[in-house]
Amino acid sequence: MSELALPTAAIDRERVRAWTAIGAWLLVSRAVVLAATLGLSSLGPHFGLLGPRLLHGVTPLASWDGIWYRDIAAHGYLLIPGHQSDPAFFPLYPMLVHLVEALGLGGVAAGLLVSNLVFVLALVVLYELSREWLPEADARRTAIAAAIVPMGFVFSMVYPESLALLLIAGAGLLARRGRWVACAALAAGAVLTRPEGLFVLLPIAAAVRAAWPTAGPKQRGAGLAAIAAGPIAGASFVAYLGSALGDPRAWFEAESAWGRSFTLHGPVRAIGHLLLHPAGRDIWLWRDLGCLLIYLALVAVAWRAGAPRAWLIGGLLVLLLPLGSGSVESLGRFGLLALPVYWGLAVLARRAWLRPLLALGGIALLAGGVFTLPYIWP
Amino acid sequence: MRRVFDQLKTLAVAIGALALVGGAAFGLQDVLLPTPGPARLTAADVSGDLRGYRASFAVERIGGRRFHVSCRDRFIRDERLRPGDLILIRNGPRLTVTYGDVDVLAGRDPRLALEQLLLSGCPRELAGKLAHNLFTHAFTLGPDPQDLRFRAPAQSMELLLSRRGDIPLRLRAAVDGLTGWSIVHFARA
Repeated sequence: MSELALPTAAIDRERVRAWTAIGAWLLVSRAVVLAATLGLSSLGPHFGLLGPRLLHGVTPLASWDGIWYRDIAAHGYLLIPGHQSDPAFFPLYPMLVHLVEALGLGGVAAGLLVSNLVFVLALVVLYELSREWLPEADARRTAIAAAIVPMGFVFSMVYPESLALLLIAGAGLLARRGRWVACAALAAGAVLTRPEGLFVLLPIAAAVRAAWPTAGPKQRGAGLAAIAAGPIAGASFVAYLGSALGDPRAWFEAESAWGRSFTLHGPVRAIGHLLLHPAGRDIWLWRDLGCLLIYLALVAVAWRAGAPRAWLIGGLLVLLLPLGSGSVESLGRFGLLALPVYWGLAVLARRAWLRPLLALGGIALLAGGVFTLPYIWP
Repeated sequence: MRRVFDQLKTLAVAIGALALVGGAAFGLQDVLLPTPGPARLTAADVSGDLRGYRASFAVERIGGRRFHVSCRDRFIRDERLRPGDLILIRNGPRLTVTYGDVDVLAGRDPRLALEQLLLSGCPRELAGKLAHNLFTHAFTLGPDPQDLRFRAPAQSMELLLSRRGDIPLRLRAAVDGLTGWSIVHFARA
């Protein structure tokens, strides 16, 4: 079978078996998230901080940033100088929600539909990408790990993480297969979904470098375009905000109002903040710090197992760069887009005795994570 | 020669593909994302412009009575020092506002106090009120595009804006049926 063969031509029995297993874990994990959400809502409208409007049925999954994404989908961007406003949120996910809303669905339903459908595809693509360098069983476990990772309840929320996972893994897969134009489109989409999408340019660049000696001018040009597609898409977002809101600095101003301006001493401030304010609302920051440390350990496991260096560096940037903003806040969620984390989990799960522990622990923490929603944003 | 030609071809393909990606990305955002209405854009601009001011002076007319009111942005000490607004009413009481909570002196009509606060045009308070209400999409423009209106539960407000900048010159407000209007001047210090 050729390296450049289409995935559709490669649907063999082994793949069908793997997709079935991944699908089963996906169903179990999403059933757990749904049951936990409904259980949470059944605790009553005044439980936690979400309030009655956001604490009934599945609406906890549409809370926090989900409100902002739904607002962008329904009304577009608006910069409110000096206040937290929506130009800080990237556009591709609300664009898709807006399209689905046009079918007659409400904002919550459209957002949940997009996130969950896209997550199915994301797991399949993650499996295919992982097969490029891992044994089949590990690739399967990689996708299963993504389905049951504790913070993975976010993949079912009105949040763009599932779309970003699909596009990052998809761009990486297409780069490995030398399909540069489609890779460029997905890399652009990844950056238009989440800023972490930018780091997929590292594995793309590695793939272009590997293919360079044997490629013709056309392939080389398309490969270079695939590397730069992400940054160009990011620039297009800045340009769009400039045109729609009359302020090309809208994204930067909004980020600053959200406290996401980066400095070199940010990591020191982040740790100092944790140590100086160990209680109160900031207690949740310990969860994010715990996630960060576990993710870093898993990246190390993936590194020892021989994961591609470009993906490892990209993963580390996803995990460590947000510290520059002076906080570990939301790192548990941001790290969901560091693919080596899942590879690390898959490698750990080679030990048969550890598998039930990881699976049960993952599922239990997944449900527990949903119950934190009334108290803290993911 | 052929090598140079190949390099040029590589560059041309890369630039062409990138132009396509950038153009498509911008175009899709432009087509697929809704644009905010003029009333919301105006309200956001007013909220932003008001951040440049630290004080306001207003002549208010409420229920046939006239009040001269000044408002200064400063730190207010209650249980702790917090940023807020100090409102002085000539021949009247002193009000303090921290994060939208009006400190009403005992015996005073809270409805009148809120009306006086709304009409005083305190820059921080007014900017915050506009920003907060932007999420509820409560804004409309009047027949004159300089006339910005918004409604909140039990309150409505109308801002007649300057044609040169987005700074309100005149305010009209209603709180639980108590109506009034004011002429406002803003100061940076």
